[in-house]
Amino acid sequence: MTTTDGNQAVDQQKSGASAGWHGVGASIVGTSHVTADIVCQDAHFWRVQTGDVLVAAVADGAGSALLAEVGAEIAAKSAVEAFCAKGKTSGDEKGIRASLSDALKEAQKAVRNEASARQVDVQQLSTTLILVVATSEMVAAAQIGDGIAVVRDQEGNTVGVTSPESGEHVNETTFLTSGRNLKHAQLAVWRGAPTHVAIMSDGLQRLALRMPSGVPHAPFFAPLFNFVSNIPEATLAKQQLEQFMSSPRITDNTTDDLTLVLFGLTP
Amino acid sequence: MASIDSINSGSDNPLLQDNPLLQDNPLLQDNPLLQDNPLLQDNPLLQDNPLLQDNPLLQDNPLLQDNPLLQDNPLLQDNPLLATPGDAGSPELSLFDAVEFAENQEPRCPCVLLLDTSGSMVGRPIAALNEGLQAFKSDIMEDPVAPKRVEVAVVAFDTTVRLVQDFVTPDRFDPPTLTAQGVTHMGAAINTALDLVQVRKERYKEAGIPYYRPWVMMITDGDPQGELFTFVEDASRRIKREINRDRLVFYIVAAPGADVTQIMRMGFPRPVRLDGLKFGELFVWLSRSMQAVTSQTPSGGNIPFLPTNWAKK
Repeated sequence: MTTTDGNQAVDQQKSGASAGWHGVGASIVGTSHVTADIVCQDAHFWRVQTGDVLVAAVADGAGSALLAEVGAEIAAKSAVEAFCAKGKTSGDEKGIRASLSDALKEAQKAVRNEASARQVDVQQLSTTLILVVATSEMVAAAQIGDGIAVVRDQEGNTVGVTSPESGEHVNETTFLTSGRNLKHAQLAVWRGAPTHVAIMSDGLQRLALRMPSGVPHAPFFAPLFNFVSNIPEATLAKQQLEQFMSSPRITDNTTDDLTLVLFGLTP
Repeated sequence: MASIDSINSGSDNPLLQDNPLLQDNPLLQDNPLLQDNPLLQDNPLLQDNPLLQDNPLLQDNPLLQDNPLLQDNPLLQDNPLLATPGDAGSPELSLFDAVEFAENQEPRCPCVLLLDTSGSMVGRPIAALNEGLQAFKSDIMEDPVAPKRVEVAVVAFDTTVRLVQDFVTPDRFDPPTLTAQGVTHMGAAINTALDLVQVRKERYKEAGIPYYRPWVMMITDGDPQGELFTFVEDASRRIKREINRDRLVFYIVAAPGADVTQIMRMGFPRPVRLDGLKFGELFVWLSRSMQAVTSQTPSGGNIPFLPTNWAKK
């Protein structure tokens, strides 16, 4: 399993009742991968910066790529680090979108460099990527491929900041390294007062989205957000989330790798 | 501290009622002997003592009701013996609600079975009760909609109050096999059931799931025993409030042996007497009532459910 929780020290400080963003996340190897003895090709990573800026990423390595788990991990981590280094969270929408786009480019570059270092075709590190940046006043997201970033606001509305982007056929999507110019990326800025954020890979889409519209299914997210608002100690919360995601009630719905990262903002 | 003997020495004991020593005595407040004393915590004398249970001095004594010593005393607040058990809002459980509510958005009727498993239920009564739970499951599964709309939870109470089964739809309900022991902590049990219902309604609201008026059915063969009177009083007050506001359907079923007079004296609604050990008939009736409720829309009004073949005429 490739689980990359961001700097645990910050994460621990932010868990529980203290103010600011706190989160819990898990990436679980899908049952079809267990059968075929393939590692988990999903990855997630996040940081909470001073000033309560959450920067988080989820990446879903392509099932057919030989080093997908490597690509996913590098993409998630580099995108977060790149945004933390230079990204803007205030100012106009254009500036924020440009910061997101720059972070994606850095992630793309990191994956390409890794492919060169390993002397393999970059396609072997193919991965989707969702990058989310959240403050108390806005949630911005960049996404390439499927999965979704969801926000809940103070009025209790649950909306998608991005939407799952997939090809005409099930199992077809676009990847971070599919094109050089990143024109295929979704870049969105949602303004409001967020209380919760969820990011997930496509494995949970059937439960999490209302079809065919593809909008978030509030009955699915409400209990999850309630969980992250009341999480016990961070390690235990992660265990509980992993147990839940590995339970038959989830795995009966999907055989894919699953990633779910949940965040709550304590005022 | 008042000894058991002095508590028992008569209702007009001025020593207990107007004694400043009991009210402002730092010895009573910061005394480690009172706080970490196993004698106080594991003492059967304190747990099964009828003097403590049926003593009017303990029930109508203003000293006990308005005494700040009793209200801010850490001994009373962190004492596991006195705690109301039952974790009504486990965040872990809420994770599974995500799948439950995503897959099934039918309106829900929460139904808490509040079951007395005190020592007097040992033998045939508890066996009949367990069979009744099985009958409930098999009967309700016959209905086309109730298995998706009813959510049953089971709370067993004796000397402890245990959440045996958190809310599940009947298809996922595996009827427990209960055993009997101890005394009847009815007040704590009712409070636990009401807390469970309250938390469940919050979960429904958050998820946008409509709900029917919740049901709580308590079955007892005793009367409140072995717990602080404040628990019983609190329970009775909450029940009245919920019923008066049409927020709860609450039945007390009095199995043979139950002290109906005493239960009503505590301010609870009039119990319906069970005819012998007709738990099977009772639970089939409950199942049919749930079916009737959930065959309507949640705003479908208040159908009266009259006890049938299980009740003593």
